[in-house]
Amino acid sequence: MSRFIDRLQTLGEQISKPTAIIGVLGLLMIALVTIATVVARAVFNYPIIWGHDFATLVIIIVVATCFPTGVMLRKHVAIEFLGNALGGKWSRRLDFFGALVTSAALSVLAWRMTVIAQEETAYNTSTIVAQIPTGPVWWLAAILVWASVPLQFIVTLHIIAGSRPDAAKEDHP
Amino acid sequence: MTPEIIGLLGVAALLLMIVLHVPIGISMGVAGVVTFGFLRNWNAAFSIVGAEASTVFASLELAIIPLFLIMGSFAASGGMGRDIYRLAYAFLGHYRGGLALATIGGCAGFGAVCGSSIATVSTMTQVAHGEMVHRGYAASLSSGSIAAGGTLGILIPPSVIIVLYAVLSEQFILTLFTAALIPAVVAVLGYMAAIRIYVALYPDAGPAGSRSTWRERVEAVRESWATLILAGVVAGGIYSGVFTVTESAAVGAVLAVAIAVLRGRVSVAEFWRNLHSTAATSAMLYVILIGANVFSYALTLSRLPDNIVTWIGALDVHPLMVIAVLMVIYVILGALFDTVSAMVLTMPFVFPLVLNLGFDPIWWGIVMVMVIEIGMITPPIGINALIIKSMIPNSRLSDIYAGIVPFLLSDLVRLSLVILFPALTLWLPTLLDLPR
Repeated sequence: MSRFIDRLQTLGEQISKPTAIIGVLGLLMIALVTIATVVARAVFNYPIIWGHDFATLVIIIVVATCFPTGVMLRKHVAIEFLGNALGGKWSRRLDFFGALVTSAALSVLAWRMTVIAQEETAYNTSTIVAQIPTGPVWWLAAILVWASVPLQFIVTLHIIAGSRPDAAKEDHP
Repeated sequence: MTPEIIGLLGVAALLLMIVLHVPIGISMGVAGVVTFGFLRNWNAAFSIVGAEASTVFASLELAIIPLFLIMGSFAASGGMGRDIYRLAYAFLGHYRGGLALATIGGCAGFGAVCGSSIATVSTMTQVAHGEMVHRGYAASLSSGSIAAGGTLGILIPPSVIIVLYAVLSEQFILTLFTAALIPAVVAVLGYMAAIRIYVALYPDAGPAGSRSTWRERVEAVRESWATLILAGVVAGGIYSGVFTVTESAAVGAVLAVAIAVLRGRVSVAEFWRNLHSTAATSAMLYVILIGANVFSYALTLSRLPDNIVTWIGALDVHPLMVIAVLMVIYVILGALFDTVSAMVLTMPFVFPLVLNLGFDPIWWGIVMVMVIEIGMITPPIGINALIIKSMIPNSRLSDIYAGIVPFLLSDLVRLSLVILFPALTLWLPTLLDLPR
């Protein structure tokens, strides 16, 4: 059982880690385009008109790419007073409950993202200036959020087995 | 069942889920959907998840958060905390308690390139604690100054918490950043005064170091060029109006990465780790934002916040009395929850109440950040104290909390000043004619 979960964990990391890194590199790309827009506007008095459209689309994918890794690293803010007070066994049961509710919530989120992708595609929605279709971007975002659901399942398996994968250090603000 | 009762049950469900280890963002989202479902219908309730999620996903304004997170993580791993601490030491180290003063100066400087309190505490613990112990500083003063100095990270712009408040309350980020400036300066001066009083009472707690020569000071400035440029470009760009806040975050992120890489301060593994960690933290914040928006929407529909506002408005109490009670609640919440949770959980109730009492939302944002900041160093949790304890296992929590006391008193004085004299926050935005 433990080896099986470890394999799933490795597989999950192989998916989530590169996805997240590609996403944040996308964010840096948005940053570079933003800087280029500022320079073009301030120095050359030549606005890059497609810059906003580009950033608006890429940020959707960037945010979605963060979800799988957030799930794998169990990067949540949760209050664990009760579990700590009740002891190890109860703490694990409560963790399991928390993981189940998280799985359900992620599934609902992924489902609603899919609905949005369907609507954007059906209405042929596109960006205002460059007329880039937004449907494919929302589909990609929906797929990435769907990918978080089985990853949350791996986290839940870890809790059942009583093995906690290394959670990320608390570096939230 | 009346909408208010459904709203109240929604709040109860939220608190129950939080107690039962459900992550806070998820708890808010689920409680919001269930409350909405009972108030209207389930189809509408699920639709609101999609609507709020798509708004949050596609918001370029929110991209500021991950961009500032990148800037902070590369500033930390690029050794900027150490540089700025050395700079502060070169000018303050010869005073009694000089290393603690330099720690506060270092925290303030580092806070200007890193919007996170926890990152500031971790960095300054690595940089300053060993030095203070080596020079014979009392354990309480060394750890207390780091824990308290760390809270400057969320008050000094650019601050991720202030950005979150701005987004949730629909206020202008630039106006809030500007409003935070004077309280931040008061905070730094207050902490430094606390150290001076402490070492006057206990001279052995912080012996004076040797005075740096002007050549050494110039050298320290030269070594800190990267941090000074980064802070100067980001803050200067924002306040001079050359950049918008989003553009400033973009410039800051790219500059921090470039500086760390070009100076060879970040290994390849660390580079990828920083990006990975930024993604995970961003996901957490986005989940909280989606959950908070859904919950807030449902609660507004239940009219519960309106009723609370009407009920408190009918009480014959001075508005400042209400603020005082809120302060006590926030100190307790800040001690039990982390900063983000304390803010988002109370926002739907407290924000309309404060507005109804006639207070300014910009002033309230700064007051709330300040009071939550106090919670970060207040027992029993006081997250900053716990971080120091985890990084220096042989330190004692009792020493850390004892060391925090002078800074806590300084915080309370500052909080009272800002509450009694709102001009401390509002004067600068008014002077600069910033949007409200």
